[in-house]
Amino acid sequence: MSDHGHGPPSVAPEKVKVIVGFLFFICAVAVLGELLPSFHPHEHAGLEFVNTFGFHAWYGFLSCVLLVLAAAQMRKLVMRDEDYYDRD
Amino acid sequence: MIEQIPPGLILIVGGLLLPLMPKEVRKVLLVVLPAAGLAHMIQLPTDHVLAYSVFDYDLTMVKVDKLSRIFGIIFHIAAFLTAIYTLHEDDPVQQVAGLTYSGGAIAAVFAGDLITLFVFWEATAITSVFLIWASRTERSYKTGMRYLVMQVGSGVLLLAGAIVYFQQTGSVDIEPWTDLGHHQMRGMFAFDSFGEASLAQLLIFFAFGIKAAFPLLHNWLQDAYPEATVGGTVWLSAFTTKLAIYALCRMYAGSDVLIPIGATMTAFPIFYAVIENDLRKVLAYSLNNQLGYMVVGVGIGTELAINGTASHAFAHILYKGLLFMGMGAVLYRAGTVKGSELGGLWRQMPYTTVFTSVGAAAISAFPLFSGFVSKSMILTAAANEQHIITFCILLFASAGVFHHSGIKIPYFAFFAHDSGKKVKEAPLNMLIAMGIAAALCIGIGIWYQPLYDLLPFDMNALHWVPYDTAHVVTQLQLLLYSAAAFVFLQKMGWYPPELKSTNVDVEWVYRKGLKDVALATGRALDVGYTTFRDELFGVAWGIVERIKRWHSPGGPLGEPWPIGAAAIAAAIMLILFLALGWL
Repeated sequence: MSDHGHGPPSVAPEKVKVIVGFLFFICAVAVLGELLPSFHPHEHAGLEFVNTFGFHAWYGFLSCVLLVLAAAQMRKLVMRDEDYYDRD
Repeated sequence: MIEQIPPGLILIVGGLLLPLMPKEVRKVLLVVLPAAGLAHMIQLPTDHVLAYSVFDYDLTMVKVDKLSRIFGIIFHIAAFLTAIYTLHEDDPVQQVAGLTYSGGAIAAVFAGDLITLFVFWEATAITSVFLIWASRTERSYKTGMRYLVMQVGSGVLLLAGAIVYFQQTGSVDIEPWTDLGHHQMRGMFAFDSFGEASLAQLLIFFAFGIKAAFPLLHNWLQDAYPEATVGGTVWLSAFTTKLAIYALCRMYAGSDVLIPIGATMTAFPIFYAVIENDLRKVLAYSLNNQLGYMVVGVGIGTELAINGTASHAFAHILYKGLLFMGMGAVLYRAGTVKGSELGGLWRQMPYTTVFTSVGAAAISAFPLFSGFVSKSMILTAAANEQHIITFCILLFASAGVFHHSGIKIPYFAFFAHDSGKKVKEAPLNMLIAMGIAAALCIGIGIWYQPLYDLLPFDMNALHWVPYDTAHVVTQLQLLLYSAAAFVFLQKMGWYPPELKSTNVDVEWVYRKGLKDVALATGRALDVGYTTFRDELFGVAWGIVERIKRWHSPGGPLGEPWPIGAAAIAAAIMLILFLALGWL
């Protein structure tokens, strides 16, 4: 599942599938949670868009994807050898 | 009588006496002193004041109010848990450093004037560096020196600011907040833009800013914390930065400039956290991010925001300490916390895995964990005051926190691919400390009222309810879809692998840039000086040689001249004098 580069997966792939399946299930439940009668979003002037359906879901997903892709690109700029500061 | 003892003094004096004790007594005292300190501190009334005089100046050693009290309580708890965590190791240097450091931080929190604050501010710097040097490596020695320069520099700025402020006002007292109405507080040094700030305000602002790890002043944290000992990092994670948050909250509450500074702090460190290989360094970046929420809370300065800051500092010290404990246990057993060398430890270290995961859930602010009942106050305060961009950045950073602290830390240490390392579970004392911290992370998340009762402002009056359907559902959405993003990125092969590397940050300026400039300047000066010296010597030797040649036998002045030549020379001289006189 990762580019970790050594050893077999520490969790059996079948179990990972079950875990990921469960994650997707509760992801769906979390969005449907907005349909609960007790769901009363807090109103804040200027932040009405936060209360649109599923906002936190896509915002969380997109934030993380962009974060990781940007960070991966950042490596080109900032990554050096492990002993970079120890060399004279 | 007992009220005459300042909080923190029990730990400082006890810590200094520790080396005189036998090993077993030392271990007992290490745990008993923070507990005794807490018992002593709690019974002090909330308006307790302890004044003293030095050189005719009236100073305030202790001033207890609800803000100092909550920080005092959590600092004692942190010292107690860290003491348990480090019991397996008998290193008097770390024991003394840990106790005096935490005692100094506690005493600083209760300081009623800037001079007393300065004394304990510097005490925390000088004591804590030994937790880095205790690694006893060349690398940790150099890191400790850099850390010390920054920390002592912060103290020097604080003292300079205090002196300037004293010249202006004739006082060094730390004043209470001004209530501006509409639940808005303002600290004694608060300012909204740098243009309007006085010199004293600026000096003290940057003194606090260094310790609070403001952007560009932050890098001492990621430099130093991963180099400390296993227990040293746990000690360090609790006090220095939160003391700075306390001081900011006390004196700069309501400063608008803190809002963008805090928002930046929440966002930029998480990019580094994603690509960092050293998992204790990941946590150091994550710590920086968490401080950002608190700085935003201080900047907003409403009662809800200040309560959010204080409660988040309380919750954060526990879960961040727990995460550092978990990674410390991995380092202790596996000999490394490099993500590229770890993985699959959950079978060998099941308890550590569970406790670290609790810390990860708490920092991610999952419902029923401590971060949820504290961080949400700061976000709501930002929304209430219509800081829309800040709110969106905080939301982005909340997703990012889960990504790098909530998922990355446990995933790469305990799961992912099997590293093949054969290690034992953490020692019992470590498990007990982690177990208590984990229980507190969950306990505060569920039974939050005792924490809320400690906050500076009455939570009932603020009509704050952490658990309502909208809040729980939206937070779950944010976190679960962040987890989905992690799965998605892994499946696509887009997730950056853990690589042995160093990521350059601001520290490059003084560790490489300025060093290279200094070396190049030194070399240029050396070459210039050598050339100049050689040239000068060449000219001087030439003159000496010429004089020598002239005066040597055979030289024009080294031989006896005939009388006639002397007479001609004298006549020429006379004619010249006559000509000069006539002119």
